Amino acid sequence: MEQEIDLLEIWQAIRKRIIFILLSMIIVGGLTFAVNKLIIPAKYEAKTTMIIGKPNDTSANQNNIEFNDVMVNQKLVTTYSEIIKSRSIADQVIKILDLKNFDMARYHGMISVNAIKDTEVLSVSVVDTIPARAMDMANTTAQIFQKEVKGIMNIDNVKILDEATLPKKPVSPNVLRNTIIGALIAGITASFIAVFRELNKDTYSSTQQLQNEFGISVIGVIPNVKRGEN
Amino acid sequence: MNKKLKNYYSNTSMLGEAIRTLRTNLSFSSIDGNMKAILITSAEPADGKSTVSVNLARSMAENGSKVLLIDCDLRNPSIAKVSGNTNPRGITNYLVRESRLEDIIMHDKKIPSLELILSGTKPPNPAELLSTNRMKDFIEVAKRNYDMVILDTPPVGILTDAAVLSRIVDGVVMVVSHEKTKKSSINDAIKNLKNVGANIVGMVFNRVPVAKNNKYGYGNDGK
Repeated sequence: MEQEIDLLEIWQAIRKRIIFILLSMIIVGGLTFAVNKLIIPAKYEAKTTMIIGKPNDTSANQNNIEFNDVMVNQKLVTTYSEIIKSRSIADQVIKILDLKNFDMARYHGMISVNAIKDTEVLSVSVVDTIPARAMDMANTTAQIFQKEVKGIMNIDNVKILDEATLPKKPVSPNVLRNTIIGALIAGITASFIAVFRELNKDTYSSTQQLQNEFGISVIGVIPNVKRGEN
Repeated sequence: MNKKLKNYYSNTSMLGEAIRTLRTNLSFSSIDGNMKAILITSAEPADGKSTVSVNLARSMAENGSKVLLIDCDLRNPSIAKVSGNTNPRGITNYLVRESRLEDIIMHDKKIPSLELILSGTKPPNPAELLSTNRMKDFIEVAKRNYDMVILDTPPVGILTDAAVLSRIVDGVVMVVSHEKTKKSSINDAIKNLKNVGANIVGMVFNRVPVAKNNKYGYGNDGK
């Protein structure tokens, strides 16, 4: 049985079940909203930035920053990123902040180090469910790293640009975005179901369909009026 | 008919218009006036056969034709209810020779020029009664005395009543209900009717939502 699918039919199928489609969107959207708001723990991000500069020596040309120095510092950024991730720093942070049930893996799962491309800036951000802890971890990591660098590299060329502040708004889950996505997926799914049911139904909604199916002419089309009313 | 216009037409006038169109189409299918007795059936119960039958019969009578409407749905008669006429005696009483024709033929309350026969006493063997020669002869006589004889019958799906009757009428009209009657039922019905050599005049598409009624026309033969 060849079946023509025309856009009008699809549109009518969607229009006919628009209530069902809207309801699924509202219900799924509402559920997504509730799950994101109430069940998934909100996460906060605290971020501190550091700059790798020249050591504070009494060099003659303080104002004359050599291009070479910048290049070297950019290379250093990569090295320093790795240092931040080292075990010794992780251990110290965990000890200082007295983080219970923390180990390397958990600490590393929460912390991320970003070297901003083509700059001498390095940022450490911590994502955690407790805003204050995120802030403390970011700041402590930065401070310990600053101290460590002196010991490891014998130069003091790390400056903290921005201290992490107490994050007020959670970074995840993105409740609005997830709710919209949930509602959209529900709407699309429901529309598919509506169209699918329309194309698979074994009843007739147009004279054309009826005639094409049985090859018997339709000699009357009676409007829908209640029985006995005339 | 768009939404704005809808307010200016009552449903009833639209129904009247639809029935008139059906009446006209029926008269077209009657080549050289050989369509004197038609049977109205459907593939499933409650597709609206009786309502269509009563409305069509009334419309024809109003148009000046001499019409006889017979309720041959002996199992579940509904012409009485739909048309608001009552008579304990009907076609069954005539078939078993209990009543004479003049006792069972009545005039419709609403359109007095329409004559009708109700189903009468419920028999234990409807299909047998309807297949008697007496029934066949009666229809023959009626065809001579009336311009049009309309038989309302049970659904043609499982029961043989309609198929039996289809052999003594000139044409069969099948009522199909919008988004209700199933393809499989219609197929079965057509098969049953074709098996007994019935002449299917056409289908009546019933209970079409008013907004969709704008697509009238007879369709095209382009398959």
